[in-house]
Amino acid sequence: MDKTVNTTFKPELLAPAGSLEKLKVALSYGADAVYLGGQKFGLRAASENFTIGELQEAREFSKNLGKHIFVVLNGFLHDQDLIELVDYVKVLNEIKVDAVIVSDLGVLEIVREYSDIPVHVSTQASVLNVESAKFWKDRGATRVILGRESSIKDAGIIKQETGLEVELFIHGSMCMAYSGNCVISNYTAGRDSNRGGCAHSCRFEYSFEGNNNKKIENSFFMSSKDLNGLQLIPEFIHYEIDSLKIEGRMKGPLYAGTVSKAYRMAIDAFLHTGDINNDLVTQAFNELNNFSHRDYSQASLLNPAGKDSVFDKRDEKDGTTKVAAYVKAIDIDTKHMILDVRRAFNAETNLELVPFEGLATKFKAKKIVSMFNDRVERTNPSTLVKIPMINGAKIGNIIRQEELC
Amino acid sequence: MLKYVLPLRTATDIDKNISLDSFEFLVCLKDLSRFGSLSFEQIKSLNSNRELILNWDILLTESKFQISVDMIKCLDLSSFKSIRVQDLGAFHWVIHNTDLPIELNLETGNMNLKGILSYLEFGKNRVSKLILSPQLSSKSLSEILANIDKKIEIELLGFGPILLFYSPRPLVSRLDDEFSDDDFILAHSEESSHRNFPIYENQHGTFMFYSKYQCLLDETEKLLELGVTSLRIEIEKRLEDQSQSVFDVINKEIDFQDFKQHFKQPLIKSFFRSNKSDVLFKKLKNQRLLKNDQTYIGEILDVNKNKGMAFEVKYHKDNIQDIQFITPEGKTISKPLKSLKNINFEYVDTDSLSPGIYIMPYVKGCVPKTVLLSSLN
Repeated sequence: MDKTVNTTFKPELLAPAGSLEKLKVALSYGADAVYLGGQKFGLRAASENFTIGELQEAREFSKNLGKHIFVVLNGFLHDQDLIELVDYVKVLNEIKVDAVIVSDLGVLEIVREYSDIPVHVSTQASVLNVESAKFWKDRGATRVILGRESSIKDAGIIKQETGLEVELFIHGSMCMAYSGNCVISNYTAGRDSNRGGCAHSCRFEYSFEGNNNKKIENSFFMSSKDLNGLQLIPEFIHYEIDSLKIEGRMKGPLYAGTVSKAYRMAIDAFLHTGDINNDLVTQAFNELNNFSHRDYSQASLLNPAGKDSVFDKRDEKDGTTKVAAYVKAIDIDTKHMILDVRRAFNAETNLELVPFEGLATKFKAKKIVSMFNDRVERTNPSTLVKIPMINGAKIGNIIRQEELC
Repeated sequence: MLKYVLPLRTATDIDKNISLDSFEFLVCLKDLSRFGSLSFEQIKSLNSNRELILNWDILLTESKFQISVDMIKCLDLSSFKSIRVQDLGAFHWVIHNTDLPIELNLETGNMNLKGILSYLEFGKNRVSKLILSPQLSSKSLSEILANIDKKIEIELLGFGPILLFYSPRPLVSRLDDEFSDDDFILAHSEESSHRNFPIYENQHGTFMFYSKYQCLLDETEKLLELGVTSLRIEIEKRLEDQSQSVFDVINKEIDFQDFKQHFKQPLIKSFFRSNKSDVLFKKLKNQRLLKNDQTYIGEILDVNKNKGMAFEVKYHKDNIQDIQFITPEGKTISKPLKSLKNINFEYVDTDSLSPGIYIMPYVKGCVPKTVLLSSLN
C-alpha cells in the first residue's frame, strides 16, 4: 500500500489500566481510552483492579479529559458467577462507563438485560471472520476486538462487511494459543485461566521426547514474542481500524505511560506528515525499548505468525531506562516538586523528566531533601523527596534514569 | 440409551470402524477438521446408511473462512445427518446457507445456562445437538440440562485426550524440521512436575493435550439421568492398539476396573465431580491490602521515626476519628487521628480531608505501603 497516503481517519488509542494510578498515567500520556477490571469477572485475578469508588473516580477523571473507560467482564463465567454479576452491571450502568468488554454470551445477555452499556466483544471470544462478527452484532455487540490471529487487512474487511467497530491489538505480550482456547492452568494448576487464573505455563521451559527417539533440545516453544505494530500505523489507518489496543494491565506505570506516549506520538506524526519514516516516529519506536520486553514481532498483523514469532528464551530484554520516581506533588510557592522515589539516585545522577507531550528533559536533581527537610545524599526507594522544580513538570510525570550496565 | 460418537480421521479409521454398531461417525476432512486427514475422494466411499456428521471444527481467520466455505459448497451435504461447528462464524454461515441440522460445539467456555439458551435462540430450531465442556461439573450439568429442550441432544467427551492448547502457529516443526502430521512428541515441563503432554502439529496449527485421558465410561447411568444423550470417544493414533479395549468397555464385555488399570494413559473425570478452579484466586493477592471503598483512606509513602510519616489520602474523607493501619505483613494498629499537617508543615483540620499528601506523627510498626482505613462508625 502507499504509505504516504494522508487521511483524516484517527484511530482510538486504547491503553491498559491495572490501577487508578496507571489509568491516570496512560490517559495523561496520550491514550484516548483505557480498559480496566473490577474486583471480579475479568481475566486478571492477580491484578490490583478497581473498587467501585475507584471506578467512579476513573470515570470522572476520564470524562474531564474527554476520554473513555471500558470495563472488562471477559471471563467465561459459571452460573454462580452470574448471580453477583447482575448487581455489578447495574452499578456500572449508574457510573456510566463507556463500554464493557465481554467474551461470554451469557454475560452479554445480562449486560443487555440490566443496562444500556455498549458491549465490546473480547479478543477472548476469538472473533476472526466476518460471519463471526455478524453473530455478535446480531446479539447486540457494537465492537469486536479481533483475535490476535487476524491481519489488519482482515480487520478492515470485517469492519466493512459488518458495520461494526473493530479493535486490534497493536502492542504487548501475546497468547500463543487462540485466546480462550487454552486451559493448561485449569488442569495443571487448578486455576481457571478463563476466569483470571492463568499461570502462564506457555512461558515455561519444556523438554521433549520424540516418537522417533530424535533428540530435541529444551525449548520455550509456546512463548510468543511481544507484538509491536508501530511501523504498521499506516496500514491500521488505511483500513480504518477503529481502536488500537495496547496489552498489559499487569505492567507498571512506566510501561503504561511510555507505550501510550510512543503510540500517540507516532499516530499524530503520521497523520500530520503522511510519512511513517519521520524522526518523531523513529523516536517513538526507540522509546519502546525503554522498558523490559521480549523480542518484538509484528505477529499476524500482515501475514500469519510463523516459526520466527517464538520467543525461545526465558529472560526479557532489559530496558534502557528505569523509573527513578514519579512526580507526586508540586509546590508552586517553594518551587519544589515532591517525588515518590522508586530507584536510588543522587544529586548528580542524570535524570529525564518525561512530560505528557513533547521531548524528555534531561536534568540533575542538584539538591535533594527528604519530606522532612533533611538533606539527602542518595535517595531510597519507597520514600518521598523534594527537589527543585523542572520547567513543564506536572503531577503524574515519570522521571526516569538510564540503566547503568 | 447413550449414543456414541467416533471420529473418522483416516482411511484406516473408515476401514476399521465404519461397521461398528451403535456409533455415529464424525467425518474429519483434512481441510475442515483439526485432526482430520480425509480427502474428498475418501469420503465418497462412505456408506450413506451410517449416521455421518460433517466436522467443521477449525477456527477460521477471514481468508481461511472463504476457502472452507468454497470446499463445503463442493460437498454433497445430503450424505450427512448434521454438521458440527465450533467457530461462531461457521455457526452463523451454516444457519444462513444450508438446511443441515447443526451440532454446536460449546466445549470452549460456555459454562452458563444463559449463554447456552442464547445460542439456541439464535439457532432458531436448527441446533440438533450441543457439545458441552468437560469442565462442567455434574451439578452444573444437571441445572443446565433441566432447562434445555429435550429434543436437543447433549454430547460430552466420554473418553479421550483433553485438549489444553490450540495455536495456529507451527511450534514443533521449528524444533524438528522432519516433524510430520503423523508424528507426536511428549513435552515435559521443566518448571513444574507435569510431564507427558502429547503434542501434534498439522496445517491447522499446534495442539497440546493433557497427560491424562478424560473417561466417563463408568458414569453412563448418571449421565443418562442428567440428560446427556451422547458420548464422544477419541483415541490418539499412538494408542490405537488400545481402541478395542475401549469398545469392549462400552459394550460391557470387559470389567471397567480392569480396563482402567491396564489402559496406557491415566484416566480422570476432569471436573465432573466438582469444579473449584476459582478458589485459589484469593491467594493471588495480598488480601490484607485489598481496598474497601467505605473505609479506605490511602497509604503511607514515607516514614521517619523521629519526624513523622507522610501518607496519601486518595479520596475525600469527612469526619475521620480513628485510623486503622494495616501493615503489608498484616499487623493492625489503631490510633486516633490528630495533629495533621500539610506538605508545608502547616496544621490542617482533620474534619474534612481532600486528596493529597499529609504528615502525621510516627506510629510504631508502620512502614511504607501500610494501608490507612477509617474506622466505621
